[in-house]
Amino acid sequence: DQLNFAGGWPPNSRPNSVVEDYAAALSENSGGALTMKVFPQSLLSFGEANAGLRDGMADLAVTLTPYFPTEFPNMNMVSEFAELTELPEFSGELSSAAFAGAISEYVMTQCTECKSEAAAQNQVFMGASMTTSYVLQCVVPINSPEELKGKRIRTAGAYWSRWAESVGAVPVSISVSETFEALNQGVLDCTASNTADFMNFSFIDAVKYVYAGLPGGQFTVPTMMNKDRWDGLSAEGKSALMKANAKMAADMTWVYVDIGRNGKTEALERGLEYGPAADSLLEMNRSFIENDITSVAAIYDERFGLKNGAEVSTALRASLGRWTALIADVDSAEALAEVYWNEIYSKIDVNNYGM
Amino acid sequence: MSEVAIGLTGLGFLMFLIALRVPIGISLIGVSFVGLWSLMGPQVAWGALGVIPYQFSANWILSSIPMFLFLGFISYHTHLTRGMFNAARVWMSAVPGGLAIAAIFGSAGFAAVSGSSLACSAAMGRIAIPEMIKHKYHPELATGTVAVAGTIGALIPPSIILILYGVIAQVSIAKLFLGGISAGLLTAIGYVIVVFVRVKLNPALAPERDEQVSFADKVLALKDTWPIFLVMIGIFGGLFGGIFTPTEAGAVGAFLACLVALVSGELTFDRFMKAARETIMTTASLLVIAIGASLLTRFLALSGAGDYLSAGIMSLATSPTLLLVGIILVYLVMGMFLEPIGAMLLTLPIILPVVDSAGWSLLWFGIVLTKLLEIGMITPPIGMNVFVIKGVVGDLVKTSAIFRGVLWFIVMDLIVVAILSAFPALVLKLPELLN
Amino acid sequence: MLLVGKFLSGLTRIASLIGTFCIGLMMLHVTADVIGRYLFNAPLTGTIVIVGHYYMIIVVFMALGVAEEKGAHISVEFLTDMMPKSVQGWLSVFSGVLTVAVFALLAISGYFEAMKKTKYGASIEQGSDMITIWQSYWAIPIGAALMALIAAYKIVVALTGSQNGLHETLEDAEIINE
Ligand code: NA
Ligand code: NA
Repeated sequence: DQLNFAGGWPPNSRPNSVVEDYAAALSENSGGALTMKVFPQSLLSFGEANAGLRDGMADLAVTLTPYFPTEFPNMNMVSEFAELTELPEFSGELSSAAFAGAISEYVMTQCTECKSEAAAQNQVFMGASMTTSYVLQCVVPINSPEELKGKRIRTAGAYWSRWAESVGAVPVSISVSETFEALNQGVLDCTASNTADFMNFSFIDAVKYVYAGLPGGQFTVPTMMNKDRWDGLSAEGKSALMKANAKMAADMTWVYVDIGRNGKTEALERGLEYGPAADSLLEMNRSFIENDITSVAAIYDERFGLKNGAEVSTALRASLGRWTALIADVDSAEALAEVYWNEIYSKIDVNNYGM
Repeated sequence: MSEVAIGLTGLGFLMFLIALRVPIGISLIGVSFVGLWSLMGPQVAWGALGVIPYQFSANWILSSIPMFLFLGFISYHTHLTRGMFNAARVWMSAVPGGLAIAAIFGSAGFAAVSGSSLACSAAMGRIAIPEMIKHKYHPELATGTVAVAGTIGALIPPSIILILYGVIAQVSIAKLFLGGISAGLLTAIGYVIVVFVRVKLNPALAPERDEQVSFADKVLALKDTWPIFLVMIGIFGGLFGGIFTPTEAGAVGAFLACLVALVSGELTFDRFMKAARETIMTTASLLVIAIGASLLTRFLALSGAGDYLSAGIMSLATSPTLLLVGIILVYLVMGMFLEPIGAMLLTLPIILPVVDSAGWSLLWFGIVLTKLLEIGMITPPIGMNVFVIKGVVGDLVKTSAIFRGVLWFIVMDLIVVAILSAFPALVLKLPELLN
Repeated sequence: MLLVGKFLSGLTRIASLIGTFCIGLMMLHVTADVIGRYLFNAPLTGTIVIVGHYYMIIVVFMALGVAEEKGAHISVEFLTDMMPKSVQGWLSVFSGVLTVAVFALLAISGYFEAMKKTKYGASIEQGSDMITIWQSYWAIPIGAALMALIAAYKIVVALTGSQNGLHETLEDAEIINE
């Protein structure tokens, strides 16, 4: 049996090769009984992935749930708490690996609402990776909260827009493919983007200053599967896929971390200013996050009637502490995959999961 | 039937329907729907038809297409472009074939506010051809020059073809625009040389005008070019001065053109509505094809026919030069029969992987492709630019005579393609300045 | 039959008006966003979403029928031009039938997709706000149905030879003759 994976990344990109490895792992785990064909960008774009999976155009894809706020309110609220990773007790180069573990575990083992809203889209959650943290990448220096005022900053989603509004900057919505030119020509002062997109979209060629720790936040990259296809797999097939899912979540998260690392090295070599933001800014940011956690709960209650925002953030905070410790010594994608497998994916009862 | 066979059969049917004059977009959508159904079942076919047309059209970057079209139509209907040809005419009065050369310069100027070569030919045709006929220019030279000069419109930015290419190939549209400038200017220079050489060889083609133009008159003629220059400066100044993005440039440019036309008293409600109606019709007829091609891409991907054909091309072409020559020939032949945007959208799913694995710059390829597609606009039997000119001159000149007038320029076009292929730096230098 | 044609023609005129209105709005909206951002540091939130999900969708799908009425959809004619007139007539009927079928399919699939989006009240995040977009999904079934109706009417007129109530003059021809 062959599964189709519709990827949204360009054919020769590193994220796409992670998907190719995922396909290879599935075939190996299943002894060749299950294979996977990868369609990079030729089958479904990120914007089409949700409906495409629902109708069975592809069997697996990455559904970027923030693109579909009304369809995935629970999943999106949980994802918003990625902002926690910028708090001092969790922050660090591998915070995305910790949060990917925390969110995958939470969704797969606890969040029934998340699973039922995915089922309503005829999908089953296969685990999530995270991008690296979002950092401010600017063409002008920003050394204090005052200097943020009035700066035009590209924001990729609600968290960053709330942040920009609260610090007195001007949130600008611009498609990611136009951001490079907008920075270059001065339409924008900064972009709030993750440290991997700093390289993927060549922002390194346009900006002069990179401020880590500001504004924070990460993007969740969940793999979803068409529910009919999942239901139709044998128990062995499901186990083989679950094992591959752990690898996919780890590899993808790791590739972002690695691209981010390379970006920092290259930026420093080229003489860009790349380091932690000024203390006054970091302090401001942390107090913003502490307030925002309450705001997120209130926003999702108001918009979608979700009452459990406070509970969820408390649970994730506790779990994130555990995950930060779990991955503290991880030094490779393989090691990360092993942690994910042992802690989450191996514990899923594939016969009941998604049913 | 194997999946690849279903894909190839679908492509065969597609060609058959197009040949039977079924509109290209409808053929594409119909074949893709039936193809997806037979490959993946009804749910996928219905799903694709429900999702892709919306998702494809709801695209911010594509929104620059109607805006650039509107900019061109408004500029034409409010006569913003007329002064440019007049100025070129006065300045070229002493040069043999001066009116034809002025038409080329006029087209290059209009190209900077128009996204399509058709609009460029249509506009310049109505302004320049009557003037040339009045001065006893040979009709073949007069009509041929304007038909080919229109193709500069798709090379010099803005360009609808380059926008669509950029969206599909994921190449920066600003860089494509910059790359198009050199190709457009090179084309314009080439055409001027052709006119010059032809008139030198046979002065009867373009009789000398006994026009004595004083320097004062020349300066005076520049006065009427201000509206179009104002719009051009607004667009390019704003684009590179950090005020707006290439996508926004269409809307701001159209707004500027309306403003300038309003100030110069040329903007009426009727003209505005006429330009807007032409814009929506052109947008719809382009987007239907693009939506169909987008559906076809999924069908080709799922059937494996796309990969099969790309791999076939790669295995046939044993050297990069052979591959390039092959691609050029394919597009020249296709350009004879097909409408260029349709031809591009039909072939990109197969050609882009080939270009990618050959290691060529997608930016450079976009410019060469546009140049090749534009040659298709002037080659028989289907030469859209020629037909537009035919529409302008009516019974005065036969279609075959216009095609004869175009022939000389096609030779120059092939030289330009060769130069662009041999020296990719010509295309890539300007965009590199962006970094 | 003539009345049906005039009725359809009236519908396309409304569709055309809505489309031209969106062109004007798109131009003004984007310009206002640019001016607001550049001069006043106050961009209009949601411009990208509204332009993509409203103006573009409405322009494209409302103008389908207009383009069909004026025969502006692009086709390749050189092969059929060499055929006898009677064959050409049958080919345009064939092409008309396909047009009706394809756009009826599009109208139906668009209808079901619009129903799903309406059920969820589909929205898109823009800045810290949400913009509802489910309404614009309805432009597809409406526009595609109008196009299918006009194509069907053209077949009937061609087959029965009854008087045509559509305005088939191409705008291009008007420009050329002005
Ligand atoms: Na142009
Ligand atoms: Na041709």
